[in-house]
Amino acid sequence: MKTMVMLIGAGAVGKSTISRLLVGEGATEYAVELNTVLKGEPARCRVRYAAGPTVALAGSLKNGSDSISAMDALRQVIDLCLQQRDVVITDGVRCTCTLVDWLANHPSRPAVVFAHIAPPLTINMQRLSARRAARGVTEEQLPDKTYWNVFHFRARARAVWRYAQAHYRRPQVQFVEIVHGTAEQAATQIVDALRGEGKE
Amino acid sequence: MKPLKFEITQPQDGTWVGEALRGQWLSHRHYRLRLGPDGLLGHYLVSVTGRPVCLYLPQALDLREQLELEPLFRGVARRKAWSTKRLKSVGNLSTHRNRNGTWSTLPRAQRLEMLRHAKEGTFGWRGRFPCAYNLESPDEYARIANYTHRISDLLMDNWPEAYERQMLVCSRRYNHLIGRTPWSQAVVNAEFYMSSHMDDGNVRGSLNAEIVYGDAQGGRLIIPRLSLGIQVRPGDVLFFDGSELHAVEAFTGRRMSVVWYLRPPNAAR
Repeated sequence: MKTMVMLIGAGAVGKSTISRLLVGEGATEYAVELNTVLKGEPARCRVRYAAGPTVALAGSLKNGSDSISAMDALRQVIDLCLQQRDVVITDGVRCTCTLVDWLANHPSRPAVVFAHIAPPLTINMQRLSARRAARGVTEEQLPDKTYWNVFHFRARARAVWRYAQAHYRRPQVQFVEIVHGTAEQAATQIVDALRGEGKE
Repeated sequence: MKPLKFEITQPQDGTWVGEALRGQWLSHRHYRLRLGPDGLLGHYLVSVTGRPVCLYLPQALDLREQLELEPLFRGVARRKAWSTKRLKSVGNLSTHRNRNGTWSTLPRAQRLEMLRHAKEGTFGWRGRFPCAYNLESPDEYARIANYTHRISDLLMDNWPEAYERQMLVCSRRYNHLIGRTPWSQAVVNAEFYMSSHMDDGNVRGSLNAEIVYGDAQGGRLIIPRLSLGIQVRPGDVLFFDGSELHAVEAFTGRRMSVVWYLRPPNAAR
């Protein structure tokens, strides 16, 4: 049985960290060139995916699915990963309702685990500041645009999460909301959901 | 401390006659439930038929710091309220005709003793335009804006969903807010006894924040639909939906309130 794990969350909530934990330490990263459509134009796109013993990640180990800029390419990579492994993770910050619909109509009918990573706002902000500090950015507070965008990304993630709950109708689906805890605890919760896939 | 939640079920049979109360002076006859020192004292989140309406946080602010800012807020409230347009909506005063027969935009001051000393003033942003106070007293405004962050933090800690919802609305016009808070403007009302009104000019569903100075007897904020009378004292913070009909009860002594609210970005100057 093929299974998709769709991590939904704003930026800097730990999606890529959780993905890395799920893929496992021995994962290998591959690069492929795909014919895709970028901004309405046909384009050749070089994308990465990572594959562990049983789990594959549609995207690079460092940035996850965010490393794939074209949504069409992301879908192709997911298909490729589904052919190679039983469990595939997508963790893009740009996850959309369209992607949820695409999964709902996917011909291979995979079981799906939707995981909404929604830590409290203060923790989200702290993680974002820490990430920027680690990148060498010295600032007293987050720049205006970055600060206010956090609210948009959180609202968008929430909207996709609600959309998935309301519109995903296939029987083999699990919804996991992770509000507190470390990345390890979150990964454990998702693994538990994977084990109980199809219950709901 | 997590606020206690209590739910008020609104009658569905149309017995609520709130509109009739609009513009009226309200008193203890219009509420049964008291929040504050002589009623229920604690952190309360009140919702009506599932929709949260107000959050009351007694003694949530550092009183010393709040009192330090009192002269600044008194400096904001420098216009006599009885000669302003605002009195029409919150002072229950009617307009009169000018000598040339046209309607005056200002209400006629009636012999209402309670409003004789009422003063008001605003700071922050009205739409895209800064209030005069920001430009005339930038240092004082910066201190007040800094203090507004404390109030905003309280909302974030105690009612995160509402905070995030309001910040999302604000994020499209963040240059015209009081700092990084979910409010664009605030009004300081000194000795201002108000008839029942709704804050029609605010962004729909947005929350106001209120703090109070003074040692007044009475002066509860009344929300008649919820039959709620809330005694806000110095150190307390009240967050409430201004689109609910509300009023300030008569009081004796000194009372000054500061109310932060969110105006739409295209609000008239």
